Amino acid sequence: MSEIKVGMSPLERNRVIADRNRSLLDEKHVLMINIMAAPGAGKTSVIAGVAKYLKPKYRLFVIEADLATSIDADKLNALGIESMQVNTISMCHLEARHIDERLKKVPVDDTDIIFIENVGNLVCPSEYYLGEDIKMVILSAAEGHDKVAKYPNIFFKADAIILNKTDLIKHVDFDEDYLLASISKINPKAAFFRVSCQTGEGLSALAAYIAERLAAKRI
Amino acid sequence: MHELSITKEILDIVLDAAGRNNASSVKIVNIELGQLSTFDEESISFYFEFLSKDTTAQGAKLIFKRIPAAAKCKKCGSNFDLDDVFLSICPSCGSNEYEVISGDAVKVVNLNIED
Repeated sequence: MSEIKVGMSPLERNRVIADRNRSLLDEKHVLMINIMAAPGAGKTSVIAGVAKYLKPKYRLFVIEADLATSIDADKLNALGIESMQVNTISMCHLEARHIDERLKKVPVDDTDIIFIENVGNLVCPSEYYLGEDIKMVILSAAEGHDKVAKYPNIFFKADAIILNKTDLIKHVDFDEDYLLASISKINPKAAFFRVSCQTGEGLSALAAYIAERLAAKRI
Repeated sequence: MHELSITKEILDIVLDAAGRNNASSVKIVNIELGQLSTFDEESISFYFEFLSKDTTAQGAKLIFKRIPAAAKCKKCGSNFDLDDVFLSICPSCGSNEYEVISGDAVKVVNLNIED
């Protein structure tokens, strides 16, 4: 028996494609946001909510991922937000190659901000860099205050953490101090926003953060 | 299904290295998994057994080593552990400006083959 040295990462191929996605978007000055959350946390609603503020000034494009159906892309397209659906069939996350393929169909020259709505999942998407500028992780009040503590990996990597459905806090057993303590322990550097897509709370602040990040990229 | 695609990548790396070294069969694959990685050893082994059927890697044993997560403080330069508690503040100076220096990677380190 003999030993062969290898020293290769099985994520390397993904990283190379992701870096290529990123270079293309850097060259075109397009901001790409990877939105991750559990199913039902409100990813599509948050996109639609911030789009109200961003759309008058910026050209938006949404890449929607779900195992099946085009429900989310149809919903956003009906609101006038240009969207493309990706069905991952059995895959629990998007990989850089999915985005590479889709970017060929996105009018990149006429786009300012690309939102990627990842597959609803708080585990797998955290492992796959897609070439995004911002990793945004959403949790909703209805899911409970312990999600950051229970799924630390994805929140650890987040640039921005969004607490959605703040209008439900008074109706459910949600301890916001517990959530804030978990965030300050796991990822104190993350930007934090409280939003409600029902009342509109916090959506303009989140939109302003996105606009600032785009402006910073264009300096 | 989380580990299926990474296991395909691992098998590709193993078969490529085995092929370049004219291996008749692969006996052991040593893999390092960072503490911050969510990949599960058992699931990778399960998929590997399934995917490697009728290849030179059929029957190979995967041996995993977990690499602790560590960070280097950008302010005071000291190194500290990040594992388990995801304690993201430098214990020496209290800064949260740091870079992860280990524990976030997955690597096929080496193979033991039959020539």
